Amino acid sequence: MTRFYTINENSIYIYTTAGHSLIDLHAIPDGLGLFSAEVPWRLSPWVAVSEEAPEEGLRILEMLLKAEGYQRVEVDRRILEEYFVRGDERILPPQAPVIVEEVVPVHQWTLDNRPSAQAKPTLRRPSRRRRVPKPTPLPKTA
Amino acid sequence: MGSTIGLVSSFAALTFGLFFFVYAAKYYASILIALVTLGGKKQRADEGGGEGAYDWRDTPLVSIHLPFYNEVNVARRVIQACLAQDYPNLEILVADDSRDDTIKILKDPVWRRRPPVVKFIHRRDRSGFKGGALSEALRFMDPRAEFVVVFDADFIPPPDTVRKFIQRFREEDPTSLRTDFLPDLQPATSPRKPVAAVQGYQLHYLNKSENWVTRGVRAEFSGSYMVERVAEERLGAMKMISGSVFMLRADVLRELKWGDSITEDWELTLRLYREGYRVSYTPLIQAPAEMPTTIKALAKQRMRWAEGHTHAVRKHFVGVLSSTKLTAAEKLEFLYFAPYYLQSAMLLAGSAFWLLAEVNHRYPWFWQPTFGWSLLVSNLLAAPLMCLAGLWLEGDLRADYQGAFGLIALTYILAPYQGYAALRGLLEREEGGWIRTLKTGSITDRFLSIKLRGLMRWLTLGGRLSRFSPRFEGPLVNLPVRALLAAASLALLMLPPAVALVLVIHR
Repeated sequence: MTRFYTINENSIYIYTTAGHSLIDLHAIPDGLGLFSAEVPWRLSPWVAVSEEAPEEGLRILEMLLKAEGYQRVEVDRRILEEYFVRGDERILPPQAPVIVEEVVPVHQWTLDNRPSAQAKPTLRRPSRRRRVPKPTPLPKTA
Repeated sequence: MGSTIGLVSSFAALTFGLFFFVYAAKYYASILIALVTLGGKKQRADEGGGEGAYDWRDTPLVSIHLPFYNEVNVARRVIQACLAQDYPNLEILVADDSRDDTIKILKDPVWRRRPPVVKFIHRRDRSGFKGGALSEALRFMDPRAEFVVVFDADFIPPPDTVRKFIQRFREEDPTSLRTDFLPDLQPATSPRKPVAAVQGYQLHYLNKSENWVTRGVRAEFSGSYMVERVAEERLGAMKMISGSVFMLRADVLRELKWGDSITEDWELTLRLYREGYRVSYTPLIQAPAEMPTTIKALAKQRMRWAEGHTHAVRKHFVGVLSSTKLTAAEKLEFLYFAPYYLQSAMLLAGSAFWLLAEVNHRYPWFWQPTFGWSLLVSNLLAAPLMCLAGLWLEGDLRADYQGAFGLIALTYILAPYQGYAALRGLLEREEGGWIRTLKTGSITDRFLSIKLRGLMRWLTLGGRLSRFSPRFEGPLVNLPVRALLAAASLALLMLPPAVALVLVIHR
């Protein structure tokens, strides 16, 4: 694996190794409050950092990253900061502990196991329309 | 009562007139020095170097810092210009405070596809203004970087800019470069002060034909960068870092750091000199930029400069003058430069006193109208003549000479704004906020690198290649312009003293 992310308090570090390109930040919706004008963020060819990110946005981004093949690892923040600055992969721990979670490939998504079905809360606004119960069909008379 | 007012006004007007003559005299002397320096034999020896003088095994890491604030019109082109640098060991750091679509440009994956490395640092506020943004860039700069170059967003540095900066550092101060693989390069034993920064020429050129304001600003910068600073460099006077197109030693910058002044460049300059460093200037490193296009935009920009400049002078005045690390020439230049923007307030006050004196017809016994007019003429023509000399040295006199006349108008239009801001900077406890100069991205005049190279060759070879030497192709085509400019400078410089001498003899 060459694509990782680390969540440290309210900051997320998304990074790659072996010359792999980072996720396109345009693919991350502005509504998540990450990589937008209102929060501090940084970007280098190998690391993208968003600081003071909202928890909800982080959760959704995590799902997006997993779908893109990124793995969550626990790496010390100072090491990641140095990696951002220098881009030297040798400073990264050789065997970063990977936090294993079940990742369902996109082509195997079903209505129940797709990430959006598990996400709480979602970005979707609750519908304001009141659901009108369907009228009970009248019993057929003979 | 009226006679007293008239008499006091006469004395005040004369005092201000003499004060301005000190500035005018410096301009005339600068013209003479620049005309001799650029293109002369002396210049060849000092500014030369050429391609062969630099050993390209020595390529220290250079970090280019680009401070952005809502630069959607120009962000892409300046990043592309930095990526196109022909220097092999670079990183580019964009310190961004934007709230507009600039952010979308920064996120573009195209910047991450190939070397050099481009890093983006976005802040959600503008704390510390441009100095704050540059501090963030410094924080995330590669620690191996040995030099920092700063460009404002509206500049388009030519591909050889960084290479020329390194070359200039080598010429100025060989010990500032790594020497571990150059065993023959011994530590300098020169008593000259170490160079902390090299300032290049901010060539305000890109939209020069937009209107009379841009023509005036173009002429003003030409006079300042081709004449005044060249003379300062020749005389070993204090030279300021001017916000863009400069290279700094990274170790010095890490030590001194950026301040949060609204004129962080001037404030850092003063601290550099107080620490015993100096700033070097060369007109051979040029990066074209655009200019404010309206009086309103220009006035806002100059008000910020006037306020921040005067505030920094007040803060460092005693420290600079009492420092043992500054030479006499540097202190003298500081004294000259300290009330630079307060001149505007003095211009207004001097004009008012002159009017009062004329209305009341009360003059001191030694007052002669001839002397007053000689002062006025000499003072009034100093800046335009310096601009004309600058434009001629660039080979652009024919195209841009109208700007010198626009500059006279601009001087009087901007005087109240600059005067007010300078007084505020002098009296207030804290500086005001940053007033942004909008960059439109408009280009009316393409900067031809061929032309630049022609100029470079001419300057470097000192006019040996006569076909590259600047010439005036207008109505004065057959006149020796260099001699004409020198004679005019000398005549206007000597006019008030000569008149005073004649009056004394006749008395």
